[in-house]
Amino acid sequence: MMALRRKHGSTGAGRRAFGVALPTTLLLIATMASASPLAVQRRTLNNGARLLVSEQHALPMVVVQIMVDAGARRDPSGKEGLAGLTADLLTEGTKKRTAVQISETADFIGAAFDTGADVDFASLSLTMLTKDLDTGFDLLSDALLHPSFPEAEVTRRREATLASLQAEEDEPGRVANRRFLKLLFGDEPYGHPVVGSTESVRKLTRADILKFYQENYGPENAIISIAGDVSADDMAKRMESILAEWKGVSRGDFVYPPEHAHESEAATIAKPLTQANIVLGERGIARDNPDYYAVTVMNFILGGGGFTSRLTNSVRVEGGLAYSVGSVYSVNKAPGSFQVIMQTKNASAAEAIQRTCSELDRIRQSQVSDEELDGAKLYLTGSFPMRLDTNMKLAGFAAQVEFFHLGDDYADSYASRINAVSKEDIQRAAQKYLHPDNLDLVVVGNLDTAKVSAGPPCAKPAPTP
Amino acid sequence: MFIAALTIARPHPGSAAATYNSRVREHVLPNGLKLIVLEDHKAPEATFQVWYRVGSRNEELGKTGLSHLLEHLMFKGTDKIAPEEYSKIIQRNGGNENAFTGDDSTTYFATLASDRVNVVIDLEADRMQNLKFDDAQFTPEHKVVMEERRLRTDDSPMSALFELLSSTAYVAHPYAWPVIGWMSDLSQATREDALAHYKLYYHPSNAFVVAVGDFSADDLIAKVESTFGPIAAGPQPPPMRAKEPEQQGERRSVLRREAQLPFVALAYHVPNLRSPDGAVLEVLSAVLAGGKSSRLHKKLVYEKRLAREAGAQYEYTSVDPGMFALYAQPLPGKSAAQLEKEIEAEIDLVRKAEVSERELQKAKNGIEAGFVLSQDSLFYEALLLGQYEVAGDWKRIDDYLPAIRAVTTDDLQRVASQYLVPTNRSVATLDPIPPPPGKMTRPERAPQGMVH
Repeated sequence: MMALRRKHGSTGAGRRAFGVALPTTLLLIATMASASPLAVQRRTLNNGARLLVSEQHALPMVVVQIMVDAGARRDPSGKEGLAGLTADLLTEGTKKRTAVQISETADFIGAAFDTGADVDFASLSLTMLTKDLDTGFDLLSDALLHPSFPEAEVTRRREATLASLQAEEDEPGRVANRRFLKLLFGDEPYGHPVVGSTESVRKLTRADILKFYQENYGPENAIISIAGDVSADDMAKRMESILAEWKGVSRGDFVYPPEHAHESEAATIAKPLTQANIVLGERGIARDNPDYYAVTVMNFILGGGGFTSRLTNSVRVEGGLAYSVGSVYSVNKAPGSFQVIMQTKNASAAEAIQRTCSELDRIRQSQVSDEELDGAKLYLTGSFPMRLDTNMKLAGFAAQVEFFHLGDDYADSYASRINAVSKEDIQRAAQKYLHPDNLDLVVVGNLDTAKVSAGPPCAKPAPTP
Repeated sequence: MFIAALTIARPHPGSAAATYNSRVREHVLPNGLKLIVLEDHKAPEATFQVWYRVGSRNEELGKTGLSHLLEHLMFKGTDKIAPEEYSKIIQRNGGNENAFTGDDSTTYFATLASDRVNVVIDLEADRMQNLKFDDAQFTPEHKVVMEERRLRTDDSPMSALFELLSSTAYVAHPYAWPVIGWMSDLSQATREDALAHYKLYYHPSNAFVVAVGDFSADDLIAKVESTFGPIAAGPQPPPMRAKEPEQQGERRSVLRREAQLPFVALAYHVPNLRSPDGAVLEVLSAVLAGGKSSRLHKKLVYEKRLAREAGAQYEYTSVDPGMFALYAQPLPGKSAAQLEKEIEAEIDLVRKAEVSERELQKAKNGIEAGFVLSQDSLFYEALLLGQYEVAGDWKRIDDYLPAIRAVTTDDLQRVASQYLVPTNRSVATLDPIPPPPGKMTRPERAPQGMVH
């Protein structure tokens, strides 16, 4: 709903930038609950790919989402950005279609056809009218199975990516995030944004892309999720047919390397901005962590719960320091980041950080109130239907449940898991996963005005001698 | 921001869905509050939206940004509801709520399980008449809105450029200034200003309700009647008299500031949905910038490799005539001037009737498909109804696709020749000042104890 805050014409403006619907796709799972209208029919194709179909006949439309185990975590060292570039190029030429023919075909049926990589997976996503299924599926299977990665298109896309990386320097939030990931994860797979860096992208070649595609775009770990005006049997038949020749070697599960040795650090980046863009945080949790539910409720109360969160209340409502403030767990296969993100006028940077540190301390040192706990549970469980109320969301949800092995009963059991979280669980999770004395900090802004105090952001001031 | 405005596809009567006119219930209360109600049972939820017919269009210089500031303050409570409690109540009911302000309107909405819709109806009826906040609430929220402006506009070269484009294109009409307001106005706004704005514009006769979802329309209307019905109609707000005179010559503006890449945007004054040419402009926008195979993308981004991105923006559902804008950002080493020339050349081709029947059909297909796809979300359906109502009448929705289907290549040529001409053009260019050497990114790792 972010787009909502802008209305047609000039700068539409709105009230909230940091809603409960956090911008990380994976986080959606964090706020899903019971009473499932999912009705997902699941089967495995002959080539090993898993097919999930949710029949929804209200509108003559179909959403297809294909997830392949070809995310940025598989970028070879020094070739950061390769997964992203490979995914981008799937729609830029196949054995029988040029890039222009692909976009002409998709545009002529008014379909949205996008490909891209996330940290853990790459995806192809197609949204179209039911009447255009044949055309759409032909396009989709062509891009997935027969990309030709023409040299000219590789050059074009690499240039475009380099230009995006340059333009990104004007987006302080991205600059801060990039720096933060590097501080926290170093050279680990999660240590770079999917897009890679100027240095690494410049060196990527067609041979790299072809090799990455051949090694990672196999059917065995692939998930095909379809929601819309279709029948599951028909989808199975069609997928067996159009993906029959899809074979591939299985690379096995990705093994995330051991965490690198790391002391908390602080970094500053000087830019002539009116605001200090602040990220502070640490390593978070993996999706399969049993504490996932306690952490979800804890973070909702701390800074994930939009207007009712403690961080919003302290930094925004009481302090008037920021339009947007919140905390986010990037929940991936391996432990991702925990980040508190905010922007405040340069002069207020230290105060905003100090308020954040107080809230991190507080949720560790004392139990949350009954009202807070109830509020979090009521929202997390009660908002469930809205996480599945469009074909787009249904397809994405089903795919992620499968990807993270959450189980067929996931949607039905979510509420009971959330409701089982106690105040003690929350405090224990806060003490276990929040380490205010060991946080990384990045500040991008006018450093002459944003006087950020030295050392770890939440360090206690040394006692005066 | 101008270029990131909603891309809501327009309605389409064809295939599955019946017309909106046959599905929507309209009901007007004696106090003037109009209800636009659509039962839609595809998901067990409902969206309830209150639209006020006030936005930056109704403001004046020196007090720009008041509509949006008031939108924030509407969450500060009433006699019955404590500050921020609105959000808490909606959340405890499993709902999402928010609000947004535009040039022409201010909208409050909540989307939640349909059996909880009465909760939001009670809250909205209460704050339409009983808003209350003192300095303790006003002062921090006032600062929050200034932070919002810094975040969205002041620290974003592109947003700043689109702000400049509007203020270049309009000389007499309030569309000249940004919804969020000029910082100098915003910083001087007072609690009394905001309350006066509320008293002037927040009345049943200056508002309407859109509700879409899994409820009984009869029940919903009865509930709104019992809650909003007793509110006094309120005085008629003052009319907005400004009218933009015809432009008689090109206007140009340059934004010089530190930035990575240049950017250029061209805007033309054009009619909106009140004119038959509106539908032609919708199709023209799709021909020029609808998808990767559209003319601007194909030529500037793909074939000539001059641009990082290129696009169009047209405001079809505005109260007063808006702009038709085309924009592009050059790749490193290419210039804004080159792109401006190329965009001009593309417009020239349309003027010379170079659009093929197939391109026309592709544009129409994209618009029609987009409509069905947008119905995936109850919220967007309600939003669309609200936008049409703000612009005149929600019933016009059903006229849209027939008008699109009727557009011919001759129409495209005629409309491009009439409106997309140099004397009617405003051009804003971002001309970057390169960052001082060594300062662009200085991400050196500060040793602990030495953070700046």
